[in-house]
Amino acid sequence: MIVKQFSEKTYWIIRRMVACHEDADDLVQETFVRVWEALPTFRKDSSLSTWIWRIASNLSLSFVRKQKVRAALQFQSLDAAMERKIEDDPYFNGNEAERVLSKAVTRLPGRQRQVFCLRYFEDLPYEQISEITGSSVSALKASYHFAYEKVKAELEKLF
Amino acid sequence: MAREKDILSEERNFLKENPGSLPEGYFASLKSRLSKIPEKDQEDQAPAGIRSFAPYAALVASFVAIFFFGTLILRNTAGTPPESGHAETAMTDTAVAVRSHEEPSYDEASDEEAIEYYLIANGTSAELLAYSAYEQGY
Repeated sequence: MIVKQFSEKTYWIIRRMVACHEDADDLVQETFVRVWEALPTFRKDSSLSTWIWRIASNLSLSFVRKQKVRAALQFQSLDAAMERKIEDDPYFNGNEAERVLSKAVTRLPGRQRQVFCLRYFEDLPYEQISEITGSSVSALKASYHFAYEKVKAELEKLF
Repeated sequence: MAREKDILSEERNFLKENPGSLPEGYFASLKSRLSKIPEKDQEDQAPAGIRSFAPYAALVASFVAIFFFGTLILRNTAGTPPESGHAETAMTDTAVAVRSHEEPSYDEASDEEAIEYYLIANGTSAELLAYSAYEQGY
């Protein structure tokens, strides 16, 4: 029931963060396994959707950070690797603007990426994003502003 | 306040659309794929309290191990007396030899020497010692 109700939105929240279907698929499965395990401890402080998206969003953020560390240890550029991933993703069928947008999002620092995805793509209110991320609304607004300006600058190069 | 127009806001409705496709019947198969994931054996899993304590326990254990092996290595390499009989005997003999050369034991010293040592130790002057020896006929 939970999977049926929340899987689609959860998948897209994750996919916007990690930019590639393969990684999103792994993370969405891990999210629902975690949800299933932690469901008895769910305290209903927030809505079920917020709780699930918090798990999904935090797993994605953790995944992004691990990717960064792994790339640094291998002396590789994560940006280049992410761009390659987007280029090679057989499930990406957006146009050039969407491709540039996806690449620009993957270049954002983890927290900014998280806020930008939840706000810009998912249209979630800051209050809900605050519950998901555990950050204050003012900090989220600042993060979103910085992220927005960076993504906008990348898109302006295209047009 | 009029917001500055930009491509990101102008094209938001378009850019917001999901740019990716999915494998056929992805969400329908997700549930069945999730049910195939084996449930973690509850007996194998330590309770949450122990799991959170484990890293600290590991840290303490590693410090204890470093201390233990460090002490062991120091004991084996630093100048502690070896337990072998030959070396110990040799060292004892040397010590006795050095001591007997520097300060003869009181058993071996004569009465005169003992008196002389006693007087010197009590600050008796050389003249007084010579006079004393003269008086005693030495």
